[in-house]
Amino acid sequence: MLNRPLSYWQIPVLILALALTLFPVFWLVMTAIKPPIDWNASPAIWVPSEPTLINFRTLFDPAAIRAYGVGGVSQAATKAVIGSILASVSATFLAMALGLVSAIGLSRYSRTSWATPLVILSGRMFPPAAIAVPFVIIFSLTSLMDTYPGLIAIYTAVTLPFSTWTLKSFVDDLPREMEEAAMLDGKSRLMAHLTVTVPLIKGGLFSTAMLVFILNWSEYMFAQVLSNTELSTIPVQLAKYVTATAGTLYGVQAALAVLAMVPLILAGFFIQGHLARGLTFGAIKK
Amino acid sequence: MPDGHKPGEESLGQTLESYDAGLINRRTFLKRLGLLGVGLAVANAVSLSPLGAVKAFAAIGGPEERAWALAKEEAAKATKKTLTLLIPTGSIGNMTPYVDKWKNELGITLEFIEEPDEVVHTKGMQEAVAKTGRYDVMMPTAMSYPDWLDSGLIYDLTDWVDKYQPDLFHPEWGVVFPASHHAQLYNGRVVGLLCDGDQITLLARRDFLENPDKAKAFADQYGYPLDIPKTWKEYYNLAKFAHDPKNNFYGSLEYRSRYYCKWMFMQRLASKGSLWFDENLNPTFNSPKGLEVLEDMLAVNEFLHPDAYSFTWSSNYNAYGRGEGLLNIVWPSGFKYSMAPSTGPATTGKIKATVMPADTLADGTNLYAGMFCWGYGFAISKYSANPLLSYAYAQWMTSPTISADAIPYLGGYSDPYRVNHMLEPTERLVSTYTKEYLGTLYNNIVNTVPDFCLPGGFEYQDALDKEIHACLTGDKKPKEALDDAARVFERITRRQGKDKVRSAWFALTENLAEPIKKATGRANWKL
Amino acid sequence: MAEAYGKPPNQGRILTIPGQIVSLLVLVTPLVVALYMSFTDWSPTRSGLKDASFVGLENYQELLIYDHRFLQAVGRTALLAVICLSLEFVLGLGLATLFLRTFRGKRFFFSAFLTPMMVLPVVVGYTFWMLFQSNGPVNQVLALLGLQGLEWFRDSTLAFVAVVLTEVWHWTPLFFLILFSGLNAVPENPIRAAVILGASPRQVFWKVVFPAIKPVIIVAFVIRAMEVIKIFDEVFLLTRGGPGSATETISLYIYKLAFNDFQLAYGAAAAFLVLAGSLVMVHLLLIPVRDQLLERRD
Repeated sequence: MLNRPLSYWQIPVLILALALTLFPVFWLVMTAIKPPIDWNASPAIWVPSEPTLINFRTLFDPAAIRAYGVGGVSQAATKAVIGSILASVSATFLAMALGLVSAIGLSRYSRTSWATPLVILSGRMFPPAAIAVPFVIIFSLTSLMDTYPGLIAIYTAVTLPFSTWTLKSFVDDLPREMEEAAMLDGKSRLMAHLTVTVPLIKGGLFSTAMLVFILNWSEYMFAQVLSNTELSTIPVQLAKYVTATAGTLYGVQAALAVLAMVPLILAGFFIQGHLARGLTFGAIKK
Repeated sequence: MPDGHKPGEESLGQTLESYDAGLINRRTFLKRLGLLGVGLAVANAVSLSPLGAVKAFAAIGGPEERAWALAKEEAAKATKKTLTLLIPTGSIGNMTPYVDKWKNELGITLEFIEEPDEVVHTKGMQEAVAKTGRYDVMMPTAMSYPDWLDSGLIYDLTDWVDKYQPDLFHPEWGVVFPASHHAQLYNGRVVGLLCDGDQITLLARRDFLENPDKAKAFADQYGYPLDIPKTWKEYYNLAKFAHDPKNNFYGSLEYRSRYYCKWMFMQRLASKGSLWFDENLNPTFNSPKGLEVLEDMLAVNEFLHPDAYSFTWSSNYNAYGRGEGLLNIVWPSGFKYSMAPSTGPATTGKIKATVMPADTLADGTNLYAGMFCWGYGFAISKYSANPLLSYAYAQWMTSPTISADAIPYLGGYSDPYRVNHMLEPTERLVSTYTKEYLGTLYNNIVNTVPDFCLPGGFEYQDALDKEIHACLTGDKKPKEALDDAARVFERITRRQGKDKVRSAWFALTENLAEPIKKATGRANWKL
Repeated sequence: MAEAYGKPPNQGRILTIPGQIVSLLVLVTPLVVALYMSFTDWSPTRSGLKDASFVGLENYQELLIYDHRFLQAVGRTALLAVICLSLEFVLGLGLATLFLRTFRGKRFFFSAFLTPMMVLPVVVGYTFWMLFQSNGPVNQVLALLGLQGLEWFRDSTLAFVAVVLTEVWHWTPLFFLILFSGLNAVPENPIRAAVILGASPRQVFWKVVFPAIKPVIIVAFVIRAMEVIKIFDEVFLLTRGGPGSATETISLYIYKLAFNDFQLAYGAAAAFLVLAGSLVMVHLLLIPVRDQLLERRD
């Protein structure tokens, strides 16, 4: 805001912060290219002397790692990757769509009280482990166990509070006049919202979508509980590498983790502008 | 030749008779049986059986034959031509070699659902609630059986066992006693068929023990020869002597991590002549003996690997295989790991093993006790569409003959558990485990005590493990830790129902080695 | 204008219905089942849910009065939340103010600082487990600085610190992001005015900027507080709740109750207590900004 360059002492601070931030990621990437002998070496090896892509290959060709004398998992990670993409994208889309609609409804057309945020957010406050079995009961009665629609329904429902509350704050931030003006111009209420409200909260939309996607992408417990043979997501597959034959497949886990990270990092890079200005929650007075 | 047959053309029956009559030696006998298509496991056991070859042959193949016959019958009747197995990740290697046989000869597709270790118990619980019928066979540890049976999830197999006779308790090729009872029974009824002999044994670095300089230094310092320890006192001395942190070589890699450390406690306690409940289900680990155990364990702490407090079985095996310590207390899989060049680069060929160390009782005798902990087995889901077929699979896979074939395969968890595995091993078993170690396994397993295979078993073990870990990491004094655990045990017992747990405990401890029964007073208990 | 006020809100309220239907079906139904469960003594080892006996508030009583482990987990989780959130706030704010300056490669730096948030919680857990091994990189670096052989998984305090460091690493980017957005949105005029009036940069920050972003800070706390209370994956993989139960959070204890012990009714009761606690916490956090967030922009 003041357009000044960094002070001298701030430069090393920034560099140190960057190093600390990226070090674990660096470690993960290094582990992903380590041959099995280096995985759990003591003292720990920072950079492998003979980097290899065997871990990545094992993700899609489970027997590949056997060439190094360690056992593998019997399943490829392909299904898990596709499953994660399917579940996370669908659930994020639904949570955003439903959340946006609810947010506009709450912001423009309802009386909200001090209890509103509590009611909305309560869905996110319940420990997943305790709600897992009720889900099992209900889903087994409705044949939704081990299905993607079931998982997507759960993900949508648990991120809906977050998307609703967050988007509501962005809509609150917009003066009503903006939509009123459009309606006075002859547009219907619906068109007014579509052409005025939505574009004006673009930054918030992108940021919220990103955060909701991260929440869905990272979710482990419900996916684990629901999955058997049909359903598979990346976190569930990762857990399988922990006790694969011959013990933990550190390198293969890391390879999958790196793959899981890349799309998020790229997305974050491309919507930077929106992220940098999006999450104001309508709390700043203009 | 009797009956005018030429050599090599003798029938199976005639070969057996010739051997019994002493007309051919063992080597020839085995060769001929091999030519006749008899599996090595069968041939071995038969050749050594006191029953005589003819009788033994009829008997040992029995479990497998009867299971196969049942499988054939059920497979023909089955509408669902798939058998679904819920197994822990890492165990599939023992089962995949038979997938083709079942597909081609029975038309049954074997489908494996792999879940991480701890998740199998949970998935079972969820199935008890959801009743989807998704699983036919499930492979938990024995500790799951009580809760699973009580939840109506799995079948009581006793009647089928009586009918189809898997020879679980046979003196020559049954599951070794008392593991046969610890790991398969609940309240005296069979609920699972053991497929994995998870007992812990003591490993040591042979190259260290046989080093003449070390031998001299040790004998000078301690006054007795350097050798693998037979008692816990010797174990302590050796760990202390060998401890060399500067060179990244530690006395022992004994587990000090959460979930594992309780087993270390339990078997030391057993070797002091105490179990964990008395006949009235009062906790007995918060006793002078229990305190002694914790003092012993704390004393050894300074000679342990620094990562002991966060070891998983995998990282422990890795560290030992890298050569970072002299002693280790692990399952038979750990022995396999250390011996294989790829997973034990620094230890391959250099491992000596023995039974778990004994402790000295008040009357001066040494009491040997080991732990039978973990140990996977096959259970049959009550919601399975093909229960008998599933049972046939379980009996077939764990039969004396097939299991001897299955265990040596890589990429699985199965370790020896039947008498013939250990005392009449096939060549493949010998090359995987060495004859010496198989003998050690037998000598150890006869003295094992069981895990918390009781109703509420998971709760009990966690309550004890948490406190022991807190004590070993220095957070609580031994007495406080054990008393706290005892208090929680009382609460768990109250909630589970004292009578229920007590009768299960009685049944569980009915089967122990005699010296242990005597030393712990179990021999005098009345229900 | 009169038209705007005259339109009945009911017409537009229909917009909230789809969201409510989804929530009702998918969220409220299992919650109701769980609530019912919490008043029984249900465990699958005894009977089906239908036949479980009604025990009223017994589970809740047991949890609040006799279950030391539960109460300790609650206290521990609260402590963890306070420490982590404070650290994340301070670090996030510091970073955000740095980013108000201009420097080269800002876009790259910005993305880089967001990265930890993009790593899966299970991955964060086991990566930090590797980092904190006795001969892992953390100890190697510390040894260079003179601190030898820290036993991260043996000492309760160190284990707790390890959990804090893991969680702070993972989620500081979110605070950074929210605070940076907030800082960017602060109107320029009051700042310019203050500068012209001779205020030092420090005074400008604390007297003008900080009060303006206070609501955003509160929102960030609320969002993260709700999540950190449920923390599971990272802690489970890092310490399994150990040493002893020094790092056992609420979610770990409830997981044990529900998934290992089959004490489903008891676990459900514990979860409702946690829900109640979280609601109170969020309510208290939102008080200072209640008016601001509820106010209509009329």
